[in-house]
Amino acid sequence: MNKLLELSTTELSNLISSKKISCEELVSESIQNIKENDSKINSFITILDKEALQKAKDLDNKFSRKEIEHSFMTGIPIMLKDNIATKGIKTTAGSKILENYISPYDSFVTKKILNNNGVIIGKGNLDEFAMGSSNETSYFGPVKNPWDTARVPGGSSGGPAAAVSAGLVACSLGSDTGGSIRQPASLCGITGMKPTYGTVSRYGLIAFASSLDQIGPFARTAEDCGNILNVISGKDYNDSTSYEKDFNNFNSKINQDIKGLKIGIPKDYLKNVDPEIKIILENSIKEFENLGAIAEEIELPLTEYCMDVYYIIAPSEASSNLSRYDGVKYGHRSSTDENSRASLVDSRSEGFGDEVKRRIMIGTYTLSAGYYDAYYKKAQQIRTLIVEEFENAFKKFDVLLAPTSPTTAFKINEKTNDPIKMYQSDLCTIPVNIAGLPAISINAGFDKNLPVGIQIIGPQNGDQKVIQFAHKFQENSKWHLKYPKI
Amino acid sequence: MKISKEEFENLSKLASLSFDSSKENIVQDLEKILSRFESLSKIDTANVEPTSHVTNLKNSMRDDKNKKILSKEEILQNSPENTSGQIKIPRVFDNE
Repeated sequence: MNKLLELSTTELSNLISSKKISCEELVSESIQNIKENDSKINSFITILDKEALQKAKDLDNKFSRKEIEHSFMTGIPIMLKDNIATKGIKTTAGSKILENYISPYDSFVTKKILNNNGVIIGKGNLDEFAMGSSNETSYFGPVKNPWDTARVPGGSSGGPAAAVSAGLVACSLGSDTGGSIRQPASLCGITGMKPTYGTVSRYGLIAFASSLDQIGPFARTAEDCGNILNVISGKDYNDSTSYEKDFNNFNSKINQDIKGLKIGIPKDYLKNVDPEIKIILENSIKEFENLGAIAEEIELPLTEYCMDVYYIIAPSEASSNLSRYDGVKYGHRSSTDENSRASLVDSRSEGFGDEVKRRIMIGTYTLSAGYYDAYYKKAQQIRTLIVEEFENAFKKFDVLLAPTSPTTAFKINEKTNDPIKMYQSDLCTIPVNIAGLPAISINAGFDKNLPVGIQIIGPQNGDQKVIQFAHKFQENSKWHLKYPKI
Repeated sequence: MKISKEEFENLSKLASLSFDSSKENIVQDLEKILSRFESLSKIDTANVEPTSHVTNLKNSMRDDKNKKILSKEEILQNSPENTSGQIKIPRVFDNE
């Protein structure tokens, strides 16, 4: 493997800006690494090598003729998770039901990347409709962890995480509904960030649970994540939950030190966490204390209810969002043609995998007449209490620090027969989505040669602070500079 | 927590899904998962407003104007079956 893609996206962007490397050089390396190594990890569903190389050559020409200005994304090879719509390119959501779906339009973030001259090099593998924590529910086969290909990369954004980790691309975009960016970032040893809900438009993101879904970046460093968010964030009239922030630079705090700032350590997050991961968390706390931050324990007693609240709200919204797949307008249609009702039921039953069906059934139950108040409404009421619990915590603390995942990468097939065990992979990440908070996962050490991530959680619109803490940690550690050998 | 046969049939109908060989597994999974939710009744939520939106965003308005987004051809390109600019589906009514 060539070495350019071991650099951060920010470093690569600077190399292109100063013309030390060309877009073609960088994109060619990405394509070569994909050809050499993707067969070992299965991180791509669609590879756009020819288009990407042509685009890189065009950019070099335009750039040398001064027809375009350099921007952060110019010539950067990026992967988009395959639930992000790309015009004229297959957008499958990892599902048989959308196996041949070619999006007629670009998502908001796709347009932003293209307008900033980023080079989309392919579409990333994922759990079907982003429902999963291991990337094993993908119709296109599981992604493998670059640190140990017998293990999962996490999910649902397993492809985007594994591709960055393995140096196939500089960065990628994923989506995070209950941890789907942060957990795979942790299991693959890279940096991944879910911004505050509403930061990035969901227009063109195939909907899973609309009140929880948020797009965010994977890259080598926190600074990279800030730079990418600068490109993809902003108000979009096609997503009424998106909004303009009162700051325009996610990285404007990274040079400020964290002396005297307060970190809360929620001990309720540690109950089901492996002891080796607790040790790495403790070491990280010491690291932050060495940098002058003040760490204190905090109680967040509602944490133990978050998983159940999530597994009511997310499937409820999913059962509603996925009712659009009917084999009529787009997607798989069954060969059953006796009548339209039979065609509808068979198209859906053939097109969706087991986990998606399971969640549609849970959501149908919790939203059905007679159960709505006891489940959905109750969960949304507890959600209000969870939001308040976080608001109170952030009156005292600048950020919270917790493990990202209770375990390191587990073996492929280890948890596939026990949905509840699989759901528990997201114990530490789910609360953040319920309250719409920003959080970043950064690599903080290794257990038996497998990466361990820690998660920095901020208050709503505290995205800059989250990046600041992560950046300070990375300035003073080398964990984010470790690369797997595949 | 038990899901009766009738309840499961009704649920499948509402979800527009059918389960043949995997029926027993899905019923067991649902029972296990739904049983977990019973713990939520421990939390007193009397007088607590359910969350409708987490960021307290106020109404987001745009001009009420027509916008051309996609052409008919673009919309039809992904339909499994179409004819003369219209989507074709199997018959809706059983009897003439």
